[in-house]
Amino acid sequence: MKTRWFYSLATKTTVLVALGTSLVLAAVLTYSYISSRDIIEDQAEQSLLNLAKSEAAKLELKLSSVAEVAGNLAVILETDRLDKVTLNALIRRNVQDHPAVFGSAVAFEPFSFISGVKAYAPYFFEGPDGISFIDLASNSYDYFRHDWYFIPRELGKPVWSSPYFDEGGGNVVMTTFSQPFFHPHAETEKRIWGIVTADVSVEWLTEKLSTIKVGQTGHCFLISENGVFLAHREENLIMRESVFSLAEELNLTNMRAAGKRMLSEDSGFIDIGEFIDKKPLFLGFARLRSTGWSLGVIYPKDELFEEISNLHRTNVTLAVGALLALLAVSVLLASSVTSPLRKIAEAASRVAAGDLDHNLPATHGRDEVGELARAFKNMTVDLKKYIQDLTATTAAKERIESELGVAASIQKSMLPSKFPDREDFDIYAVMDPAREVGGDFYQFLFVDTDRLFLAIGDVSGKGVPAALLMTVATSLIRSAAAEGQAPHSVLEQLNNHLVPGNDSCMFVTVFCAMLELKTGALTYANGGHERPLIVRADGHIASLSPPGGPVVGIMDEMEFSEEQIVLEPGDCLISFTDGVTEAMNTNDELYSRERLISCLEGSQGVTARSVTAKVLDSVSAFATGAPQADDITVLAVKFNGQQH
Amino acid sequence: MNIQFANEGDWIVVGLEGRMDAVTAPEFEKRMLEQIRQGSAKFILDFSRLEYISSAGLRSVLVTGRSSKAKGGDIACCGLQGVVKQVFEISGFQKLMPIFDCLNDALNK
Repeated sequence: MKTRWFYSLATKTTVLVALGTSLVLAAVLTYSYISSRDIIEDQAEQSLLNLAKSEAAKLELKLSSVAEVAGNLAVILETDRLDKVTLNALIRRNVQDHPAVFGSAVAFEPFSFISGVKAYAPYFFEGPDGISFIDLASNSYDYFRHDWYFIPRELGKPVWSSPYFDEGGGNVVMTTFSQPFFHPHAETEKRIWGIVTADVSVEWLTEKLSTIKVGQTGHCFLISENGVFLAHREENLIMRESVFSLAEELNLTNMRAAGKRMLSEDSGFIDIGEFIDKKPLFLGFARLRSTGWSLGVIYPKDELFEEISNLHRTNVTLAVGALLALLAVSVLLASSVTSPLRKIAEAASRVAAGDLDHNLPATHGRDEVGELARAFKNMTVDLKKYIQDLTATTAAKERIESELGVAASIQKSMLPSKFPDREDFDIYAVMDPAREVGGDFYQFLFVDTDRLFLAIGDVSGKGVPAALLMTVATSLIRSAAAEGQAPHSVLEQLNNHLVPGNDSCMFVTVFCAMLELKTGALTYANGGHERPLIVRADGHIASLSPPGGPVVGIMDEMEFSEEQIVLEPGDCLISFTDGVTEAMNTNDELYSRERLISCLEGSQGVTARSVTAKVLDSVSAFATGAPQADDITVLAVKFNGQQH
Repeated sequence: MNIQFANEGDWIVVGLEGRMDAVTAPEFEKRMLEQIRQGSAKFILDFSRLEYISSAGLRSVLVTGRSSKAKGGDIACCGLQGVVKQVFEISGFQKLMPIFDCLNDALNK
């Protein structure tokens, strides 16, 4: 009997362990992944914001240094009366000394600096061959109408211009800080005298911006107050596209929304979602207060989470490895428990099949399996001993039974079984022992041609002791009768033989008789036996009188009286043992002599064999269901008289 | 079978009830021999409530009678009736041991 693998304890344990552990591991890993993501996202927000703010602050610093240069010159112009040469020298030095300043100009109101000259606007800038000078006041460049002059003059305060491509000036994209200055020593109200400008090349300003690395693929960009790109990794966008035009072009609403926020809020962090190349992005931004520009830092989400994803992947790999290791351990553990069990089960099958000598696997374990193995071993030892005992007992019993069988056939052979076929009389008898052998007996023999000797007897008790005494009694009776002794003399001789040494007080009741076949004269003696009955030819039923003498085998020197009766032709003598009258039914009632007598009524004229059968049938019908308590014997002799 | 022992002067009255056959007789024999071993020897067997006695029962009575006589005692029977009385008559036991009609007759002997 082999357990199918999917029913085995080892498999069940392993599967349960695997399921449980997988669930726990999955829960832990998922939780750790999600919470790590949240932490990293928070940190990314902070660092992107900080980066944007710090870069914006750097730009702001540069811009303010430029503004300072212009401011200083304005102060000098308002306090000192400068001549043309000194002014030009100052402007030139501003450009020369300050790398932030791409170019600088001082533009005067009409006819205010050199008498008779309408416009004067000396401009120094970093040209390809060092610092160059041009006077902006030319026919082709009417500076009064340019924004950098016109707007601050109207507002009366310094202004940063929108970035523009300065054609004819520096020929670069620049933004210009324009500060109005006033006539010195004005008594009444301040009157604008001109505008001091300082240009910043946007390219110079942002030259490091696009090289700032944010992770692997993240980058910075700068947009103007209108959303126009001032700095971007992709240079073809610069000054050509704005956030909004690009959003329109690519149909990206989230880009437009992000642009709006960048230009309306001081700083912020936006989870933009999927962007141009379908990759989700984070955006941190900070606005430059002076110019209204906004600096953005883009960081791809994937990259941000790449590390955590890697970590997660490693964790999952480790977890799967740990799970496999755990499964291996579980399988080992489970089979270390179940393999002895399997061995015991196998041994049990062999033992059940009868192989009691099958050696059980040696078990030294003090655990439950060890106990089971030991208990099982003890059981086989006990079983073996029990079977040996049983075998021996059975053999002894069989021997006794077979001996009893032989004894029964010997006992049977001692009772005459051939009934003479005669016309002058008719005899039949049956002895039915309650056990294999019995204590009842009957005998008949011809003493000579005219005399038939009859005997029926019952040894006290039953079984083997009774049978032993029965054989002795039968032999003694036969030998005495064969000598031609009278019935009472036969009993006396039997008694004298049995009494000596009869310590166990076994006794025999015997009725014996001698029938004269010519006359029908019946001489008889009774040693404590049930009185036989006579069914007369006319149907009348009588008991043989008188009641019997003492039982045979107990008292020494007993004398038995001899009685005589004459049988008429047709009369039938029926003798029996107490197995007949004392047969019991299931209600513990005795068959009784009365029932026997009524059974025999109407039996006149039938053969000895028929009357015997009738009595036995009646007894067996009466005792149906109850075990036969005693040996049953019936001996019937029917006297027919001389047939002529 | 139910067996009860009662002391009446020198005698021990053995009250027998039920059936005395091959199955119950050994118990009767065993308990009687036990009494004899303890020194009692004079018994009156009261059969008045005994329903049936078989030849095995008769043998037990004989055995106990012989054992008590060996110890110098005696045994008597009383209260025979019905089947038991018939069995005693048939087997001629009245010739083997004293039989009384009732317990008082036995005690007054």
